[in-house]
Amino acid sequence: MSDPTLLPVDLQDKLAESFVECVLEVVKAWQIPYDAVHVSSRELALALRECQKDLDILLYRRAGTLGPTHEGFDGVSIGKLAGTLIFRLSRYRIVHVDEKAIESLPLEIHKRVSKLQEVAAFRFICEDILKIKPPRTHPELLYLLSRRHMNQEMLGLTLDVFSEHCSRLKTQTSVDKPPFSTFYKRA
Amino acid sequence: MVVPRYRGYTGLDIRTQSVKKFSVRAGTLDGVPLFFTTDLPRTFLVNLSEYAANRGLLSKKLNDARKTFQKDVRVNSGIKSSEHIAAIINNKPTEQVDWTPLYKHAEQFD
Repeated sequence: MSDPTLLPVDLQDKLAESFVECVLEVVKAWQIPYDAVHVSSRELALALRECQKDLDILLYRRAGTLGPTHEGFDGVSIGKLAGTLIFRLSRYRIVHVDEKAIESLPLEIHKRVSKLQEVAAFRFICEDILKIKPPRTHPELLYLLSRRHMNQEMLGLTLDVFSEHCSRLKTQTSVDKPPFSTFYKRA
Repeated sequence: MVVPRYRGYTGLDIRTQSVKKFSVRAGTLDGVPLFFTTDLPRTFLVNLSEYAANRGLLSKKLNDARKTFQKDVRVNSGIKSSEHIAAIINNKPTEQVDWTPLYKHAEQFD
């Protein structure tokens, strides 16, 4: 029996863990001391709770009064899932860096650190959700996410396009096989 | 395209700013195709004079329209349940990707 919500709490925990793993990977790559970085579990939980609402509203809009178990319901796209997640994970105040602890590091690292959360969110949705290699258009999207604005609807659509066109990552189970072949369509 | 009931009317030609008699036939106005909302089945149209005479008409017409609504939205699709999302998140990538270009980009703007 399917859960009535698309994002139950145990699944939110899995997503949270994958996101924090991405933060860790980025921090490691940037050679920032782990001690200097803090993750707010409260903000992360709030962001994922909001994702749950977003996705369930999407589900309702798609399925209407038929309900998600009706055979006529086609589901929500992978780009919309990724868009919902990256929007919330880049808006809530989840990742905090102790400026004092990194004051001796070069200016370039300080510039990167100010976008740490958005970069990690990006990496998270590319690797864990879309299973794509970083597309060349990523930089522009990082700028939009961190310094300007893009609404969830446009992010979802943009990431649907990325999913269709970008080089696919190799995964444990090929995304060409069911059930993944339903989610990952090619242009 | 619905053929207007009338064959002509007098109005302002916005191209020449002059009053002229237009010919309206077979869904065109002086030969230019018209895209009236009358493309909708007439059953959804509420004529104001009919409405003024019968206030209950609007509610009936709204219900007529509701009967034609789709029950679902057909757009990009695929994921139907939390089990699907769990399968996606559990299907981990098995290759390493070079994220350096994105990291470099992050230091190229303030």
